[in-house]
Amino acid sequence: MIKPMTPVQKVIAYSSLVFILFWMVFGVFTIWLYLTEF
Amino acid sequence: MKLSNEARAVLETSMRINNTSEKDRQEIDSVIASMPDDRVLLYKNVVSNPIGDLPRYSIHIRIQHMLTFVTFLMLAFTGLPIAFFDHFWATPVNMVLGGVDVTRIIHRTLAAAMIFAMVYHLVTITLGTIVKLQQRRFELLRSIIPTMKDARDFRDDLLYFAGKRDQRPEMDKFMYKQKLHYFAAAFGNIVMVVSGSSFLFPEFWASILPVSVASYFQEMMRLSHPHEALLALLVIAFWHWYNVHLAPGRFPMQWTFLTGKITREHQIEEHFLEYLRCLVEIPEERKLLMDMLAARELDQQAVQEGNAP
Repeated sequence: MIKPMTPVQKVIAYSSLVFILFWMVFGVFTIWLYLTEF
Repeated sequence: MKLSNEARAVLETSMRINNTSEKDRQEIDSVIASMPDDRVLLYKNVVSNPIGDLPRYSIHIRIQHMLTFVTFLMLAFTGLPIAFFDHFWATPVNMVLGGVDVTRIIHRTLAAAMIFAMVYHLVTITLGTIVKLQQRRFELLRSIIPTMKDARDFRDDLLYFAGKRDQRPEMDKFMYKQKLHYFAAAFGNIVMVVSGSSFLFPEFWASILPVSVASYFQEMMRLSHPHEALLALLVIAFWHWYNVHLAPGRFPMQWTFLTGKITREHQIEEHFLEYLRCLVEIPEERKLLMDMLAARELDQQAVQEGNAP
């Protein structure tokens, strides 16, 4: 059982998701690049 | 909880290394005896601080991860528009960065920073290992070096996920997945540094390689640099980030890379052998766990009497 995060911790943790989702879009882009270029 | 032979051996080694007193040994044994056999029951009910309870990574490892992580993403972001500079999408990226020549300079500077992180890491683990060997505290199982146990753990974990086993295997500080990822990253780093340096210093590589190999080598490096980069980016974006951000139990973020600490829950689930060492090394942890077991009626006796949640 993990204790609930404080508001500040929540902001940090959930904003990390925004960050990784942006880069995951970049990852999808590289798949497209792979499929079209190599 | 009755420990497996493997876990008992790890515990005995840890107690020997730490010169644990007889009184502490008895305390550790009684804590372990109180733990319920069902590890799932244990890790789902122990109280954890979301940002971590138990030590895992030193400040050096955290700095190295941070350096690698920042330089890696920026290298990917600047490297793609260099490799595909004539593509429609590369032109605006290069323009924002100041033209492809500037992108190249940024890319090489970041590469130097990434190599620094790699050297820093090698120095840290080499010195750390030497010190541990001198103090007779080095444990192979606790290190990142793959052993046959990892193959067994992998098999047992697959069986658990397929519903053929009740418990996940008792894994060590680094589980099979982390060892695989670590050595993949090490291999990738070497490929990227060698191939990248062959673009920057072709004469150097031509001078040390036999003439018959040198020209093929350049061709191979031209191919491997972008391929390895795309592979690495996909591994990070879809595997590593799943494991540390999106996986159940880790969502929305595992804090270890910032705080250097792992949650008690995660340690017991995936790194149980390391948790046993924590019980030896951190006396407060023994007391905390005993209090938690008593408060939540999780001790082995309560479980057997059917009182556990």
